[in-house]
Amino acid sequence: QVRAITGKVTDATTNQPLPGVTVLVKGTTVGTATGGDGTYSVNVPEGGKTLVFRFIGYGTVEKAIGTATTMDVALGVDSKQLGEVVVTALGIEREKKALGYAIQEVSGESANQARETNVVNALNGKVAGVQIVNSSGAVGASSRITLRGNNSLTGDNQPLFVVDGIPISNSTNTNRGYGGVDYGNAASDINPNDIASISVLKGANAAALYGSRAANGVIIITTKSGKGTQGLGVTIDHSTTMDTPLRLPDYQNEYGQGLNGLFEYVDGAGGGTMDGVDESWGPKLDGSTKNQFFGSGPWVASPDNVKDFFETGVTHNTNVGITAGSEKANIRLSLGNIDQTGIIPNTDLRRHSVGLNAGMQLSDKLSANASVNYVQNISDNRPANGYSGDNIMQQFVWFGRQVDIEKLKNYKNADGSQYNWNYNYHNNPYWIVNENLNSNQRDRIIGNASLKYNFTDWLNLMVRGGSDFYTDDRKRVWAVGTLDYPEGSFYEQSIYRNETNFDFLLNANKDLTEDISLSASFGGNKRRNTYRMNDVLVRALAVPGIYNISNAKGNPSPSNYRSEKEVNSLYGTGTFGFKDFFFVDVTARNDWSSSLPAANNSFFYPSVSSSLVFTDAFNMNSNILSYGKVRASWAQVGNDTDPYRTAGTFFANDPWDGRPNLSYTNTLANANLKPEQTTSFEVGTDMRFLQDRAYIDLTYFDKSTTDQIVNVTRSGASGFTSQIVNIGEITNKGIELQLGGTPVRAANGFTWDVLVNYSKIQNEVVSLTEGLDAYQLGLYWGVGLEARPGEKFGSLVGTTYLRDDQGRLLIDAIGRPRRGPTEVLGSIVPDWTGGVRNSFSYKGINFNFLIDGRKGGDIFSVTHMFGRYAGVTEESLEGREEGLLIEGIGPDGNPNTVRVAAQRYNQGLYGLHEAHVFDGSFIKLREVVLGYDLPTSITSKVKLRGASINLIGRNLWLIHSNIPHVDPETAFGADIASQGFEFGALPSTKSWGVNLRLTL
Amino acid sequence: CDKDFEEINQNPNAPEDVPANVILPASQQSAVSRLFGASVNMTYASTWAQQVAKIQYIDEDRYQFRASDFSTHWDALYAGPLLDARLVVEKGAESGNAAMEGVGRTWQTWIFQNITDLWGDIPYTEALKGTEGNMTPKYDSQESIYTDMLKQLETANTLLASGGTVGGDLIYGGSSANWQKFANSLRLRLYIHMANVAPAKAKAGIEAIMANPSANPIFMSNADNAELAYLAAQPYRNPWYENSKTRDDHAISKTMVDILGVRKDPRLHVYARPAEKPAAGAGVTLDGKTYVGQPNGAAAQPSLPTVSRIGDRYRDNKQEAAKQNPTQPMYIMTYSEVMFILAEAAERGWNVGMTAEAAYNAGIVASMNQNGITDEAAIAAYLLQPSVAYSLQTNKREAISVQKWISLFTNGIEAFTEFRRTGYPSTIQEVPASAFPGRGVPLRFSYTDQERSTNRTNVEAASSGIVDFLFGKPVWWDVN
Repeated sequence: QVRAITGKVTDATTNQPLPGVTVLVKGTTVGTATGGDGTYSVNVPEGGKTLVFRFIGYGTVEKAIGTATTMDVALGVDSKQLGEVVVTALGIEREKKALGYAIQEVSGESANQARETNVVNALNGKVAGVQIVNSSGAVGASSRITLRGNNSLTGDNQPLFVVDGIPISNSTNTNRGYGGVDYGNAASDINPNDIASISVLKGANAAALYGSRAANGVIIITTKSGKGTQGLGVTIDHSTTMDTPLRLPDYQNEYGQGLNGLFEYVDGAGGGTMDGVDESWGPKLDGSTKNQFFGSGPWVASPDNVKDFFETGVTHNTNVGITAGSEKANIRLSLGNIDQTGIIPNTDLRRHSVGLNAGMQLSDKLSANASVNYVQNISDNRPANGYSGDNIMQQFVWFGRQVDIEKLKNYKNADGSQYNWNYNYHNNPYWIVNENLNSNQRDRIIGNASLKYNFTDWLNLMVRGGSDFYTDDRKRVWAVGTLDYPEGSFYEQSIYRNETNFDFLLNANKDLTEDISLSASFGGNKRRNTYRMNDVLVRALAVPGIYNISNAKGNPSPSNYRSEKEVNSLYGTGTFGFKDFFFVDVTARNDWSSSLPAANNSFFYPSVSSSLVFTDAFNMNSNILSYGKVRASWAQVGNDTDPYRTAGTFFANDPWDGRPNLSYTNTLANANLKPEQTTSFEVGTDMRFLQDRAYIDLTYFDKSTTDQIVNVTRSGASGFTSQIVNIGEITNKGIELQLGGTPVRAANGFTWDVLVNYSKIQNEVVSLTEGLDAYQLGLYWGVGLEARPGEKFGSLVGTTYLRDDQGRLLIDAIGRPRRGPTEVLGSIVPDWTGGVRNSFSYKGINFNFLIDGRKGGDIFSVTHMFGRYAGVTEESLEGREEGLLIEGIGPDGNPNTVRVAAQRYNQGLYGLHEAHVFDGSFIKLREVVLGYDLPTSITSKVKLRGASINLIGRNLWLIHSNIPHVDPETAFGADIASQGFEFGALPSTKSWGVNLRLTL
Repeated sequence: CDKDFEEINQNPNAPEDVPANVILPASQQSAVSRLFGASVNMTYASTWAQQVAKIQYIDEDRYQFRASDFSTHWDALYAGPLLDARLVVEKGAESGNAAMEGVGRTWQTWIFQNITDLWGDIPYTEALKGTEGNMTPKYDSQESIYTDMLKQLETANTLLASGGTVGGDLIYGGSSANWQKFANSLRLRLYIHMANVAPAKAKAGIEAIMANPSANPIFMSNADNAELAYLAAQPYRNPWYENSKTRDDHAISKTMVDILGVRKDPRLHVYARPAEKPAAGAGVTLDGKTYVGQPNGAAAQPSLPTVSRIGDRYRDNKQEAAKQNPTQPMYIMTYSEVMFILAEAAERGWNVGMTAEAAYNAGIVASMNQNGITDEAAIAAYLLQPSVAYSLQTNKREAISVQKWISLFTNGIEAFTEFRRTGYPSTIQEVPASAFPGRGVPLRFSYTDQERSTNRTNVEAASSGIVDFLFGKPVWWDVN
C-alpha cells in the first residue's frame, strides 16, 4: 500500500525552511527533495518504515513513519553528514559515499544566483577542473567548457549535456576567426531558473554509462519539479542587469591618422596625403587646423572614440515558477523571459521559454513523468566577429586616433551612400550595426516522457522517450554600398537539428543480508541524430534593400546538406555494498554506431570502481577526522565519429554558365576506421574534519585517449589536404582539489564559509602517426595551433626572433630584429585553474564573492600585432620622434647602433609572432552577490511566503593580467581551432544589477 | 544489426563517382582562377616580375610574403585541379576516350609546369597518390620533371591526333585539334625554358616539332590561344576585375611604364589608366595622357591619385559602367608567346622554319591585336621605331625578351619565369625597401609551412641551399 507523507523541513536553530533536503524512504530508491519553502511530499511504498532526511552541512535524521501522514522535521547542524545524495549517470540517485569516482554538485541556487543567462558561464569557478572560455561580450555569445582538459584532437572536447535524463545539443556553429556571427552554444537555451541541481561527472569513469559522447565528461542537469509541494506555490524572479565593456585596448593619443608623419584629407580614399590609410602614424595631434573627413577642424585626439561607441547593455530577466502538488500528482510550470540589448548599438536578444514538468502516480505500481520545454530565441541583430570588415572591432584595432565617433553617427549621405572617416578599408561602424544586420530565430523543443513500473519493492522498470529539436533560421545582409559588398549581398540559412532517444532501464535493488546490499541495472538505448541545412547566398542585389532571392543580380548559390546517425546501445551495471562502508561498482556497455564501417561498428567498454569509508570501516571517527573515504576507479569509453567519413565524394562548385562542375573531396576518407578509445584511471579521497567544519575532496586522474578519429592535415601534394585516420595518444594527468570550510559559525548566527576549487593538469601529446610531425588544429596569421608529440596539446607555433648562440637578438641593416625559424611559442593549456568563494551570512543577509583565475595558457594577440602595426596602441609611442635602438647584434657582428624609425619597427613586427604571444594568466573578481531575505514576520503580513532582494555583479574586475589591451579569457570562437587566438573579440562585459524574488 | 542500419551512413549529399566531363571543367576553372588569381598572379608573380606594383599594403612588393598564402596556393593546386586532372586522365583512359585522356594529360602538365617554375623541385612522380597511401610524396628534381612533362605532352599529342571531342571543356569547347596545338605549343614553352641549361635538348626538341607541322601542330593565330573567358556574374568574374571591386592595392609598375613609354607603345593605354593627379613632371606622357608607374617595393605609400592604376580592360572601371569588363579572358598561353619562343630559337641559330625577325614582329603584332590594338598602320610604325625594329637592336636576345615580357602582361607567372631565365628586362632590380636587403629579386616561391609540418623530410631535402625562403638557390633552368 503506497501512501503519501508530507511535511516541512526546517533548520533546528533558525527555524528557517530548508530547501533541497533529500527525503528518502530507507532501504529504497524512493525519495524526493524539499521545495523552496522546505516542504516535501513523498509516496512511501509498502514496507517503507523509515524516512531519512539528509542535507549537506546538517546531521542526517531518520524518523519512523508509523501511521503518520505528516512529518515535520528540524535538522540540526551536525557532523554526521554522511549521506549526501547525488544524481549520477542515467539519472540514478546515489549516496555520494558509495561512488568510486569524482562527482561535483552545484545547486541550482548557486548556479543562478548571479543571474547568468548562459548556464555554462554559471559554472565558472564553481567546479574544480572545469575551464570555461567566453568567446566575446556579444549578446548571446557562446561559451566553451571543458572538464579535465582536452582529450581529443577533434574539435569538440566539450562534455555531454543531459537534462532530466535526456541528452541535449550543445552545438556551436564553427565560428572561425575569419568572420562570422556567434549564434551561441545550444545549451544556453536551458533556463537557469529551472535548474534544481547540476551534477558534474568529470571523468570517463563517471560517465561510462552515457556512452561515446561521455568521454569528455557529463553535465547532468536536473530541473525543478512540483514534487514535494502541497497546494500551490508561486515564485517570481526578476532581475535587471547592466553590461559595460570590461576592458578596451589602451590607445595612444598623441599622433593622428596618416603615415610617415603625414596626413591631409581630400577624399578619404588616398586622394589626399595618406588620407586613405587607416593607421595612426600621422602628424602629432597638436591642435592645429586641418582638413579632416568632416571638414576643417582642430587636429586633436579623441581619447574615448572607441569607448564612446559602446552603449550600456541591459538585460531584463523575468521568471515565474508555479508548482502544485497533491498526493497523486505534481506539476511545475515555468515561464521565462529574457530581454537583452548589447553593448554594441542596435544588437539584441530575446528569449522566451515555457517549461512544464508533471508527474503522476497512476496506480500503486505505475508512475509517469513528462516534461516539455519550449524555448524561442530571437535576435534582430547579432554582432559579427573575427577578422572581417563586418566586425566593428576590426577597425578599432586600426583607426585614426583623432576620429571623433560622434561625427560618424550620421552614417549615410543624402544619396544613400556611406559617410565615413575612411573609404578604403572600413565601413562606418554605425553603418555596420544599422544596415548590415545578422538576425536569427531559433525555436526549440526539448521533451521527454517516462513510465516507471514497480514490480516489487526491489525491482522496477523505466521506459522513456525524449527528443530535442530545433530550427534555426539565420540571415545576414550587407547593404548596397558596403565596402566589401558594393552591390549588396545576403545569406540565408535554415538549420534543423534533432536528437531522439528511446531507452529502458530495469533496476533491481536488494539487501541480501543485513550487511550486504546488491543492486543491478540493465538498459538499452536507441539514439538518432538528424541534421538538415538549407542555405542560399545572393552575391549582388538588383534593387537595394530587398533581401529576397527574387531580387538577386546574377545567379544565387543555394546548397543543402543532411546527415543522419544512429547509435544503439546495451548496458548494465552492478553494485555491491558491504556494511554501508565498502562498495564496488561495475559497468559494461556495447555500442553499435552507424558512422563506423560495418566491420568495426560494434564496440564494448567496461568500468569498475570502488569506495571505502575508512572512518566507518575501522571506527576511526574522531573530533578531528569526522569522515574519511578513499576511492578508485578505472574505465574505458569508446567513441565513434561523424557521419559519412568512410567514403570520399565529389562536391559541386557553382555551375559555370549553367554547366555542372564537380571536384573530388580534399579530405581522404577511410573505409577502415576503428572506434577511438579513452582509458581513464582515478583515485581520490573525501575527508571531513573538526565536526565537518572543514572538508577536502582530492582526486588524481590519469586519462589517455588513443586511436582518435581525426581529420589530419596532410601535404596537399598527396592530392588531399587532410585525411580521416585513427591516430595517436593524448594523455591528461592531474589533480582536482576542493577545500571547504566554515571558519566562523558564531552563536549569533553569523557564518563565514569558504570554498576553494583548484585543478592542475599535465597534458601531453604522446604520439600522432607515422610521417606526421604535427597535427594542426587551427591556423591564423601564420600561427598554428598544433598537437606535437612530446609537447602539450595546443602548442602555438610561429616565427621567432632570430638569435645568435648566446641568445642575443640579431638585428638587420636598418635596425630591426630579424625573423627566425618557426618554433613552438607557447601552449594554450593553463598550468592550473582555480576559484575561491567566500560566503557570509547573518540573519537573512548574505554576501558572497567569487574570485577565480588561471596560471598560464598562452595567447597569440593579434590586437597587439595590428595595434602596433597601425600605431594606435600606446606602446607604439615609443621612439616616435627619435627612433628606437633595439638591443642586439647588427649585421657586422657588433652591438647594434642603428636606430630604426618607430613606424618601420612596429610594422616590421607584423608576422614576427613571438612578439605577440602572451601569458594568459589572470585573476578575476567573477561574482559578487549581496542578498537580503526578508524575515517571515514581514512577509507574512503581506501574504508572501518569502521575499528576497539580491544585488549582483559579474566579471567586475580583472584584478591581474599579463596580456595588454584585452581580456585574456576571450577567443575567436567556441571551436577548438580558435582557442589561443585573440583578435577583434567584442569586449567581454562586466555586469551588475539587482534581482528580486517573491514566493507566494 | 539490420541492413538498414548500415545504409544510414550512405552520404545522401554527394556522389561517390562522376564522369570525366564534369570533373574537367572544375579542374579548369579552379586552376586558372588560382594561377591567374589576385594573389598568386597579381600580388606575387606580376609584382615580383615588376609588371604591377603595390600601392597599399606594400609588404609583398618588399618580398615580405605571407607564409600562409603560399601554403594555401600549394595545397589548393595539388589537392584541387591537379587531383581532378589526374582523375580526368584515368577516366579518359579507362573509358577509352583518347581525346579526354589527351586533354587531361595536357592540362595536368600545364598546372605542373606552373608549380615547378614557381617552386623548383616539387613532388611529381609520387604526388597525388594519397588514395594509394602515399601521404608524404618525395620531391623530384625540376630537371626530371621537365623530362617527364615533355613525355606527357608527346603522349597527349598522339592521343589528341586521333580526333574527337571532349565534353565539359571550358577552354576550347572540346576541340581535340585545338588541344593538340596547345599541347605542342606548351612543348615549345618547356623547351625554351631549358634553353640555357640544356641547350642541346632544347634545340633538338624545338627543331623536331617545327620540322613536322602536320604531326605537331602549334598555335597559328590568336584564334588558337588557350584562354579562359570569364563570365559576367559572380563567382566567375575575371579575378583581377573582381579584386578591384573591393580593393585598390595595385598600380601599374614604373618598370612597365618606363619600358612602354620609351617605345611609345600603344599597349600603355591598355595596360594602364592615366594618373588622376600626377605630380608635375612625373611619369610618361603618351598621346596627351600621363601615366605614372609606381616604383616596386617603395619605402613609402604613394598618394594614390598620383599613380596610374591597371587599365580598364583588366580592372573595374568604377566610374564608367560601359568600360566594365568582367568577362576578360585570362591567357593561359598565346600565339604571341609561341612567336617569341620561335624568335629566340631562331636567334640562337636553331632551325624553326622562319627568321627571328619575322617571328619577333609576328609576336608583337599578335600581342597588339590581343590587346585590342588593330590599327595596322600604327602597329607598322611601331615596328619601325629604332627602339623596336629588330634589325636595329644590338642585343637581339634582350629585345626579344623585353617584348615577350611586355606581351606577357597578366600572365605574371610566365613573366616572372622569363625574367629569372633571361635576366631581362634588366631594369628589374631588387626593390628599395626589400625585407631581405642585398639578396636581389626573389628566385622562387617559398616552400610552405604546411609542407614543413606534414612532409618535413622531403621538403627539407629539397630546401638545401635556400636562404631566407626565396633566395640562395635558383631553380634548375635559372642559370642566368
